[in-house]
Amino acid sequence: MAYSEKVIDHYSNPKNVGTLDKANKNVGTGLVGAPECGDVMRLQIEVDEVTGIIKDAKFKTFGCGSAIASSSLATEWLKGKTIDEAVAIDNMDIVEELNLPPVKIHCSVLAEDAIKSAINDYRVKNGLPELVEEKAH
Amino acid sequence: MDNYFTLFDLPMSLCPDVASVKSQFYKLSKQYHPDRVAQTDEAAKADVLHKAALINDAYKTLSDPDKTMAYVLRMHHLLEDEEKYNLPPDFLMDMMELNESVSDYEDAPEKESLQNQAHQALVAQLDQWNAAIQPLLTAFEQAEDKEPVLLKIKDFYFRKKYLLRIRERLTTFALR
Repeated sequence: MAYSEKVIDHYSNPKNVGTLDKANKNVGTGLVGAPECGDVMRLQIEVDEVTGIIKDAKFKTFGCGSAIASSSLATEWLKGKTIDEAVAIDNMDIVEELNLPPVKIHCSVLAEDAIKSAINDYRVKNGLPELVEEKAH
Repeated sequence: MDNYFTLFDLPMSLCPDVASVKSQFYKLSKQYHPDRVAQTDEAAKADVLHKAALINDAYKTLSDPDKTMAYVLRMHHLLEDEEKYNLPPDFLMDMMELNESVSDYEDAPEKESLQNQAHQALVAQLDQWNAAIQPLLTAFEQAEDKEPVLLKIKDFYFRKKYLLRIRERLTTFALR
């Protein structure tokens, strides 16, 4: 299967690989896995206390090219967004941007789950209730 | 779904007897060999080919414990294609760390200590997995109602996927 140019670009030059301090209360950490293929993805956001804007995002993914590209793209998109805007990121936006074939859609779902999981971790740390997923994939 | 256990005349099990699986496979393969039907009988030929393919699939499944586990879960409608199954965060954290130790080794392949570290961490996880699955396999054989124990086994089935994936990374890298 051929990867799209954008996937190859993110895969060979992943943006924002790394770790943020998970003990920091402004940092939300999402850790998700795709059991069928054994992929694991960690995505972290750091929210600016004053503005409520995501000022940094990092990821580390062990998985296929599409999973790495999806999470790399997700961190790019997250930076500069408010939490509300970040929640609105849909996996199909990732599919479209990266031109993912149907068999790789689950990689984008994983990235969306990682975003939601990071946001929830941030919310819980800051005394807010967890968001409940209303959309079924 | 064709029942591989019935086909091989074996009781349903998560660890079917290796020797029996093999001998049934040979016996059935001989019995349903394409050469044994008249070349002119198209219907019989198609039938035998279908059966031979089934026998091969059954053998591939029942001779591999991980595949047998998936097959038995599917038989009980407890496993779907591309199922989203959530494993506890602690486990995912362990898998993250294990993957990271493999990456450390990949980044510095000349350091034997890193290779050993990654290898030992994986072996420890696999040992833990094997120790935990044994009582469940016994419980499955004995249980009247298989579903509760199969649901526990399912958790282990998915854990193993992560471990196999990491093992594959290690082996592929070692063979480069």
